[in-house]
Amino acid sequence: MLWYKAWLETRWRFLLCLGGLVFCCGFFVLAEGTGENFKRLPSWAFTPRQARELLFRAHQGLVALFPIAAILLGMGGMLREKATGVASFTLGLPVSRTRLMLSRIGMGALQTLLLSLAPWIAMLAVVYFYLRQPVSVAFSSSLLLALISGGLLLFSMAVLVSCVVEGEYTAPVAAFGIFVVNIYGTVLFDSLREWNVIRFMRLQEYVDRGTWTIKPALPLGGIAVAFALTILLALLSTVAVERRDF
Amino acid sequence: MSEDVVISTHDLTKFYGRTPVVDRLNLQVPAHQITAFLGRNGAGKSTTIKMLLGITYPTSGMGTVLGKQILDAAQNREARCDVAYVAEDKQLYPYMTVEQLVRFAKSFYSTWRPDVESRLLRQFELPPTRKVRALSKGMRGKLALLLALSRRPSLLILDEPSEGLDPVGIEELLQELMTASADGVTIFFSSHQIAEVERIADRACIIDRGKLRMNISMEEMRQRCRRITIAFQGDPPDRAFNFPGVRRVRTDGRQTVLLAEENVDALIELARREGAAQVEVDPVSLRELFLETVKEGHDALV
Repeated sequence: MLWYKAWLETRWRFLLCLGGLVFCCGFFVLAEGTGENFKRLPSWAFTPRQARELLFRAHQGLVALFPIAAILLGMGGMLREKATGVASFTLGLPVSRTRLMLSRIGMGALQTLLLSLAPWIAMLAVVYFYLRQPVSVAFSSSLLLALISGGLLLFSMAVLVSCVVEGEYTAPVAAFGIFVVNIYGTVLFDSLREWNVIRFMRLQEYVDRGTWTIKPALPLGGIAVAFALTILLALLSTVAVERRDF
Repeated sequence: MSEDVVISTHDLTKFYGRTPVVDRLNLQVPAHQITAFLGRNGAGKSTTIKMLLGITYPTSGMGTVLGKQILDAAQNREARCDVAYVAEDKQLYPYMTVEQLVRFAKSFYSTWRPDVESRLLRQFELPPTRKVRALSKGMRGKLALLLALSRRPSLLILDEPSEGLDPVGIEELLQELMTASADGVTIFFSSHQIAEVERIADRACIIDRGKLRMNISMEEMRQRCRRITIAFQGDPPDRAFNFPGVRRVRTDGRQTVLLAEENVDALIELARREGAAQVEVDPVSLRELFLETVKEGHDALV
């Protein structure tokens, strides 16, 4: 039932983000695929290569929107419950704080996963059914993997911030601030550019612009580091809640 | 620890910054009784309750609830299986309906009583499909009480349960508490409402500035505590009544008023020896005892 609670708590934020991302990505692929850039081509000339280019460009837009969704999903939690006075009821239940956190993080991670998958499913559906182009599984799954790992990292960062920073709006603003610092910090200091989360999620340097395919060396190390950091931040959030007075 | 004690604390202390909110509290709450926890605003009642339930951690000291250590997270969780708690502000998940919240709470307790649940749903006229956010404070309080009573706890802890209730709601609450107590549930509740406490409590604990000032059964209070008004023809004697069992001595002109919890006969005798013209002995109400206790912060009867 803790999962049910976590679902009820976050469902509107999740559905809003889901609807927004699916609509934006689906509409972009549809409009671009039939718009100025491609419409001059006869339908037989629309190639799988162009479909991949289209998907890659849509992915760039999706990456730009995704941090907002991930931070929105990371809002709430025990500190918010403390502010609204519900924390006493939750903590009076015969469950550990770890279990409370696991259900919240688990539900949020699942929603982040769905927010990554659903826009891609919409984009691939448009490409496959409307533009009638085959779908490149390797190409799509590589971009999707980068989106999921970066998205989960942003989500767990937002969760950690919500566990240490009080205030309904302060926590998401602080999480967004950390995200902005990451972007600008890694742009300003060249030695840090590998740690730019948006750059990592976009995979721009891993796509061959001639063939629009993934270069052989996908940043698997970076993806592993992102997953490891996600787990670390989730653990830190749990420890922060375990130790805190409510 | 005695099996008849459901709550026991030893030097339980909580500091917020440098301020002690609860200061070396030694509290014993007996089983199968209704114990009231009285104190002014900010006296440390809610913090004590939160420490007992593991919501807030003590700075030092220790305690047990139903024989389980409050500092041990696993033991505290075990204790919470048998403890129902209604918090001061009675906030519940605003995004759930009454029905969803009942289903949610029910899933955590194997001892849930559907008969109590449906009886209280009817009695409190709680609309099952209404969202909690649309309930008034009084209705939320009733829902919180329903959730607490339906789980059949061994110990029911309530923080200011009558806050926000209308007179009919307060009456229903008191009736339910008395019924639960008759069913063997131990009740520990904090309150400002002395009239409610006098009506249903078997025992009163008074806390002031984080310290336990009094822990006395109501029966004992009625039998033992007396106000002795002594009128003198001249000036009252200095310090003559600093006597064991005297809680407070107040002198006003030629009159001395003693609040005594024991040795009443000896005090009357002493007053006569000191030349009292008139001695009156009256029973003391809990209100009077409470006001005297929190005004002066005397340490006694603990």
